[in-house]
Amino acid sequence: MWLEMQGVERRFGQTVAVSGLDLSLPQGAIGCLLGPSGCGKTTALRCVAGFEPVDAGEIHARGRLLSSRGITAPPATRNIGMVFQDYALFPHLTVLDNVGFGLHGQSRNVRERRALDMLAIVGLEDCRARYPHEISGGQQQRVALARALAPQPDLVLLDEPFSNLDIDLRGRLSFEVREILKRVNATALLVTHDQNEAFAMADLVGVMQNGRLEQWDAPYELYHRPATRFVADFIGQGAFLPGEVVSQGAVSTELGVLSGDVPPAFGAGSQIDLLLRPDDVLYDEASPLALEIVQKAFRGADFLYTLSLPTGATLLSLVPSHFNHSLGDRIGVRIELDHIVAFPRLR
Amino acid sequence: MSAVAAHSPAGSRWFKDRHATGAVALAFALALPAVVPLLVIAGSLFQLDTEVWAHLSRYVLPEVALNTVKLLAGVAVLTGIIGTALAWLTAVCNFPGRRFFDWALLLPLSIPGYVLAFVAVGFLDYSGPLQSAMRAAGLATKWLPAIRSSNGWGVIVVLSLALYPYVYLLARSAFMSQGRRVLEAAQTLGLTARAAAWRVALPMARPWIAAGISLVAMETLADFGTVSVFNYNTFTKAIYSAWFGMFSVSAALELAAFLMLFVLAALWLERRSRSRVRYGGGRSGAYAERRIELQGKARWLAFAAASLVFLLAFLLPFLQLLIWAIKHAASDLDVRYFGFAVRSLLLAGSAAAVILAASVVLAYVTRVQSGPWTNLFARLGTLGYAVPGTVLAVGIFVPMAWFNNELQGWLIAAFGDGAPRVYLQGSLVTVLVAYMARFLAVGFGPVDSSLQRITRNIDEAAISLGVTGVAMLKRVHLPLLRTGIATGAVLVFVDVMKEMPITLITRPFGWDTLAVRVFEMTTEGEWERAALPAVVIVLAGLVPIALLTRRGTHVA
Repeated sequence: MWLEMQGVERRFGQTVAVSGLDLSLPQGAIGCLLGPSGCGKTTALRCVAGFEPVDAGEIHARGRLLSSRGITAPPATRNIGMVFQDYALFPHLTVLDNVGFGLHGQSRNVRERRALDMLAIVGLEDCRARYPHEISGGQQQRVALARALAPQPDLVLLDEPFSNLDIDLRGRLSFEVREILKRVNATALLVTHDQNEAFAMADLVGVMQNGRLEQWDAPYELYHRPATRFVADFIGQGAFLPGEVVSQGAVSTELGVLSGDVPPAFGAGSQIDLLLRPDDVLYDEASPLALEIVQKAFRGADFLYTLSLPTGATLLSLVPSHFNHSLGDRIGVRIELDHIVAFPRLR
Repeated sequence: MSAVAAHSPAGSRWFKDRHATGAVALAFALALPAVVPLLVIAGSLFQLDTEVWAHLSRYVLPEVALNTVKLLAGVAVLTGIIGTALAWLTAVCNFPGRRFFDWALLLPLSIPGYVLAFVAVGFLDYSGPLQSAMRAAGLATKWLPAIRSSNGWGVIVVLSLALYPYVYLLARSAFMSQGRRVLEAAQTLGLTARAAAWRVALPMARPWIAAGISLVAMETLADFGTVSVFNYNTFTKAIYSAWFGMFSVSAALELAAFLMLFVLAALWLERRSRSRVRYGGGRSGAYAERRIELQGKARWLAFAAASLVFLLAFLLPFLQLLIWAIKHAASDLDVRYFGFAVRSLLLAGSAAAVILAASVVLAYVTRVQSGPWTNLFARLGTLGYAVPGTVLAVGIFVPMAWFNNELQGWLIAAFGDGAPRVYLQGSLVTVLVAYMARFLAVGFGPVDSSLQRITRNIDEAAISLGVTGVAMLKRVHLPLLRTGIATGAVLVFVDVMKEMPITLITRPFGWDTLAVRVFEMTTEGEWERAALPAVVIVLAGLVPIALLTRRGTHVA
């Protein structure tokens, strides 16, 4: 593996910022650590960069040991590029000089050509003579990326790269940055709290909470097969419905017996909470199951209805926007599951 | 594994501790020039010389304290009104000439109080241009108020005209940072535009105005030259006469201690108001979008007010100064004058070099090893800007003399009678140490703020690109610090050029500078001949204002 983290731990005094973190990233892949603020994702990134030592575990890149307890290869020797949250462009240098900053030990010509090539890749050749404060936030972001990529690092780290941009720009730029990283076949690890960004950018996403990596997987798997209740909650929308396992293929709930593959960990008779995503609850006028609408959110192409069950539990349902109902109406729905995502019943 | 640096945690802690101790020691050493005089002066309160004290408390203190309070109150009120009103007019309103006055009203900063004072006194004097002209025209001059009258109105007006820019500057940035939004909010709540100004904008600017006035109060307490011209007896003047007239060190120290009580009060007021300064929600320059257009008479009243202050505080005195300087240049401009100028430049230049070197070191120490001790020493070391020059001069001279005696004793013990003679207290070392105590804050401020703009991320960006250590200092820090260092050097240079009491008290024999020359001419009542050295000082003082206004437009 190109980047390998095993059992990485980092403490600040009594608080454990990161613990038991394992992940691996193949060459050319884009990984992402996703989690709420304070979950330890930035600390993990800084451990990879070498700005933080590790208290346990090991970090390898291209088979070379970078960090372990008592050993921290200096950041300057790691051949790792970094894009900072505030970009940290050098205010006294032009865009071109910023990009060429890391290209030392090469002739001026080579340096300049390489920097210009990088600017061409990020589409900013025209800005080469400007100073950082003279270009827009989105442009600064791409300059920071070009600067990090110019020395052809083994790995690029991006710390909340889009958080200083407005929402429109974020969406567009995250695709652009992915394009650029893929074009130069860079291996990258980014950190964000925004799951749309994570899904748009990354091949592999890790969800972190309280310093622990809960799951390291492809975005599709995170959504459809969350490993923990936290991941199920944090990623996408959904509702938990109490139920009891009847057999390996069926769960009995308030909505009747639902069929689908039950995870083998739960035997018959287990009390579980069943995850129902809004796209599992289909609109069906013919269905005998009619539920009351207690909340609705218009989202353009569809409505997200919150439906209430007799016991007070709620479900979410995604319904095409032609079916405009009022609060209090009852609509018919049908549950369609191919596999069942379940967690032990709380309380 | 070759590039992997391994060191044990215990080793790194030892390394860090040694660094921390060194940093704290360095910060402590740099704070000494400001701290020692304060301790010496505070100490003098605990060993009062009863004879001296009896004399002081009976004949000196009552008059001096009353005069100082009167001066403080008058200058505070007057600068508060002038500064705030002008700031409101130029920052929020629009009237003919506003763009010119916006920066022109800062120009009086270039004229030290003592220069404005002797120009005013010389102009209004019996033999001055005004009265001579009136007599020639057959007009009575008896009814003219005597500017040097002992009730002090003259010195209050002159000092206010010299110092109002402090209030003007701070109030102006307060009004500009408020943004129009709050005023609009007040108007949606039923206030007229005028009421909104009184009830919202002014109260919001109050901490800034108070900070400006407390700066003015500190400058007033520190002033020596202006009150000397007016022969108005305040603490600084009393300290100087105790030192040179009575040759009484203990009287000077005790007076200095009393003066420090006033200074501490002003300092406390300044710190308290600064801590209340909050930046408004609007972006700066928000008023520029739509100013209050003054109508009819108000337009011209505003113009008249701004013009009057500009004329009295800058243009007329500056022209008078030039006229006098040219008039006497032929007879006075000789080799001696060249000497005054060279010594002024030498002192200002070496003070700027020493103080900026100290500022850079102190700024790095507090950045690399930020902790309670280094921060405390940095704050103590830069406290000297609040301490009057007379106090610092006396407070440094005394321990210097003591140290010199110790050193001499040691030298004689070591080398016998042939030992070299030292005379530290009367050398340039003492002058420079005193300057450093007084002006370290002036140099430290711009250096520190430009160092703070180099964020940790900037450092880490350089490191992640393989640029570390000296290369990083050279390629990243130095270019970014250059402006801060240059700004600090210019400010210190000009402040030293203007400085009078420290130079007077601690200068080596014969080391007369331009400011000293001004003092000597004015004590002899030779107002016109004081103009020539003063012109150079004023011209030097214009440089930092040019910097200030350029930075102002750059930000906007």
